[in-house]
Amino acid sequence: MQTIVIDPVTRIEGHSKITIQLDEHGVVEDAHFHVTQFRGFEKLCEGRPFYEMPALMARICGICPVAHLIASAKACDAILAVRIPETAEKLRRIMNLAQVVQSHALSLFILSAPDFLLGMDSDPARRNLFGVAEHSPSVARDGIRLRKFGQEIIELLGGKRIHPAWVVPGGVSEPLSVERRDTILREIPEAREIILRSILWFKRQLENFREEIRTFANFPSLFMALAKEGGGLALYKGWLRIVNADGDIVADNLDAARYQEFLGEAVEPWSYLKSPYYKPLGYPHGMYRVGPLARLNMARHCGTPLADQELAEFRELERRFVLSSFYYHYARLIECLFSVERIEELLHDPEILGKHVRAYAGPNNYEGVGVAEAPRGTLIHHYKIDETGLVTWANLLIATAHNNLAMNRGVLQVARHYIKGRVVPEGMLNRVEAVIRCFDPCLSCSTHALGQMRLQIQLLDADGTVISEVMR
Amino acid sequence: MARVLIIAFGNPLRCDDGVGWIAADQLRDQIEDSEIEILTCHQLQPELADRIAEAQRVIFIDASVGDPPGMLEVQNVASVPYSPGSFSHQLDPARLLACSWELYRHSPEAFVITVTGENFGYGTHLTSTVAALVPSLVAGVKSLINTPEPQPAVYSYLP
Repeated sequence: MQTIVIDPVTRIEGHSKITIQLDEHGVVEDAHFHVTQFRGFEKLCEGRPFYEMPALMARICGICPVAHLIASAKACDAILAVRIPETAEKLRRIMNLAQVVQSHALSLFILSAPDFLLGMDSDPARRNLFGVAEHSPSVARDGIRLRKFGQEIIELLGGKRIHPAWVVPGGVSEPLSVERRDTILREIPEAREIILRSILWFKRQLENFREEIRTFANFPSLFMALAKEGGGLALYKGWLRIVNADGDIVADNLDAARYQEFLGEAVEPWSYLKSPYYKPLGYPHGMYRVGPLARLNMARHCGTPLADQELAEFRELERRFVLSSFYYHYARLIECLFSVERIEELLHDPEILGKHVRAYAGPNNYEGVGVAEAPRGTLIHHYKIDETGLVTWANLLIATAHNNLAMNRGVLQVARHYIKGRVVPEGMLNRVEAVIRCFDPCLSCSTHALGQMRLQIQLLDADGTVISEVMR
Repeated sequence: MARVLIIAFGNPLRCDDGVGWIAADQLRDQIEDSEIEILTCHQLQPELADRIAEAQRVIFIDASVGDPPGMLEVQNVASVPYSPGSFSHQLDPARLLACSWELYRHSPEAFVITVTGENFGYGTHLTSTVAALVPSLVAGVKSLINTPEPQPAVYSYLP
């Protein structure tokens, strides 16, 4: 048996490696995506006052701190047992949507665009933003402008781009001023134009990636996302719904606060990333996917005009549920479009400038669960406190963890398709990495750890000897 | 369009690494010129490239690691090509200038002014050595703003 090791995996958020095991005939037998970093926020927050949790949990990640802020604040809202003011909820929604835009822009334009533009087999030294800038400067500029658009909204609302402390238990800390609202509104048209031309650009790329579309984590699975009345795209609030690959509802109206009744959390000795699964189907058959692909598969409509047009076209890709994870990238662009349109709608809401933005209370529950859709998928924060309000226990279920089983299966599928024998061209290994990038995993989030962005692939022979290794 | 763009970067929760933020605050208090823009950030990210592309001169303020602490250094920065695998989410000044050139075909003259730090542990305070250097750092930045053709220099302010 031989094993290929990719260590570290590049152009993702965090530190991981991939091992691919070959049998004595050089045929791929098994593959694993290992997350090799650990920090353990669930333990270090024990003993802290619960109202510190949003600011503390935001430190899990520098890319998507807003998602943690929101899920954490919602868990704290549940501990306070308050209904936050309407204006506060709308402001939180805007910040969440802005984060979707900036995070998706990073994933698509900076981490994955090198593969689209330069090719999966291109020189790895050029597969980065500089390579994109050299090849298609307009695409690189659009990516940077779009990311900046999202970051500036976060900064305008929260005071800073990374780790804003503006989302607090009970609402938000400051109302929105007219000046800041108008500043954001002025940026909307350019962001919308960038996304529309990026969608056109991306659709033109699809023809060049038919094989990848066919083989990149393309299999039937369950999908999970927040759902809401009327079937619209839900990113902030709703109940959990699980559907199968045919679009049939498997479970609906699931209360996220009772997630432990229907989601199990398995662990494997070879990864710090846990593997949640849908309990009724058991482990590992209860594999499901979350994130942009799951959300768009599940939504009947987005709820904004341009995004709905694009969703209608997206639906035609596979004439039923879209199963290829390559289309996560496409789904990200549609969600960016929805986010920009929805931000504009919310900013024109007369209530958005309201001054009542926070509900005050002491702790009224010993336990609280918060859920939101992060850019990468469903995010659940669950805390327990003692009578003095100090955290005694915390559990986080992160989008990347929900996708762990699917990512592992995707790596195996790609490895089996592209790797034949002991000699593996670099472009083939890049495809093994690229299937992971479809999910845009955030390993800092998923293990709540601090890490370097690195990749390692190891190819092991039948007796476990490393016969090929790539480290970047 | 900013004539001069000042970018102070570092982690203000890591003691002396936050010296740029403190210098930036003082510069904001002392400079009233709409053509001078002052930014603070934890790290240099590619989004800064378009701001840089609009400037005529860029001054980076940073803390440096080395011996002995208490050195103030001014260096020219020229854009350099990227190196394989060097880029993911953050850049150094030279690569950020390269990014500006690749994307916008403009890479302004740039300088980095650094202070050698003493303590980069957890904390929001500067060491006395570095705190004593802040007035000189601020004066150094103002000199870079106003001098037509600044020259690289090393100044020692050893305690």
